[in-house]
Amino acid sequence: MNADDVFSEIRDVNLAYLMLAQSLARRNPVEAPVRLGMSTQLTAIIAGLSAAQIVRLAESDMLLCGVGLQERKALSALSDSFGRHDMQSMHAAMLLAQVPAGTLY
Amino acid sequence: MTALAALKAVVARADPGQRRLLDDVSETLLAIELFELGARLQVTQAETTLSRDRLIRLYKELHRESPPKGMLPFSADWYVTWLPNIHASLFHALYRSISAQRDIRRITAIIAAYRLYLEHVPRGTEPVLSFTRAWTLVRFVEHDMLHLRTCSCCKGNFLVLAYELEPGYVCGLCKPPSRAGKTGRPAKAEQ
Repeated sequence: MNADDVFSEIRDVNLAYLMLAQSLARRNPVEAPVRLGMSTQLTAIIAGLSAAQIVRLAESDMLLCGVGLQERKALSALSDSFGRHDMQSMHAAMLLAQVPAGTLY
Repeated sequence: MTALAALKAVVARADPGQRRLLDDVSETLLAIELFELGARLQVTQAETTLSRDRLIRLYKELHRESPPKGMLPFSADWYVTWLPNIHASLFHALYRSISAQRDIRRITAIIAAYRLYLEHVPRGTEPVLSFTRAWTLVRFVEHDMLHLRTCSCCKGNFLVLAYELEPGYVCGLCKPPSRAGKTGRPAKAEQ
């Protein structure tokens, strides 16, 4: 895979991410901040973006979305106990829900 | 559901001055939503301005039976047993996240968090945490009967009884008790 492929894949992910975020934000403005890990203001801005703005934002060689879990202990707890019990997704949802929302500065 | 949402938007847009009938509609819609989620009569009585008689009639029309009598579950101990603790801690994490939003009503946040919680309940099984329990939980935490402790292993915040002394708390997911989940009854989900 050469560099151009990676860049175009990053752009695809950016576009998919922004479109998903926008549809979530428009469908349910109360739930969306929790699902996306964003502040309410940021969610409202994403909901109001036009299609052209989304395409322009996605045209970047850097990923717009990041990993939600920044705590090393949380990551290791989730990956270590993988398959040990069937409540893995619940555990992950709980740890993600308490991550402070990304805010605008 | 979309028709209901549209109706709610119409009610919310109306002028806040003269709107006694519209308030009545929005309170009734709230009561219907609460009953649909499985709320007991006492919950809707506390959260809406509708009279007890009207709420009983509403309950009968929705569920085709009389509302259950008796007191609400009141034990804070229930929330610290293994499986309920995980479900309740998940619900409360979602609730905290939603109620951090500006000018959101407490009951709206509880409903939204409970709907998010229901997504994690396996299809075809009863949720461990009922809506009434979830509502009681929020009040218990507000009244300092239950506290949050951070698990030293995964850094998740879990519910514990107030003033429990346990240094180096580890949650039930990082260190499940040996007989966790083995209640004797066969689990429905395995079929």
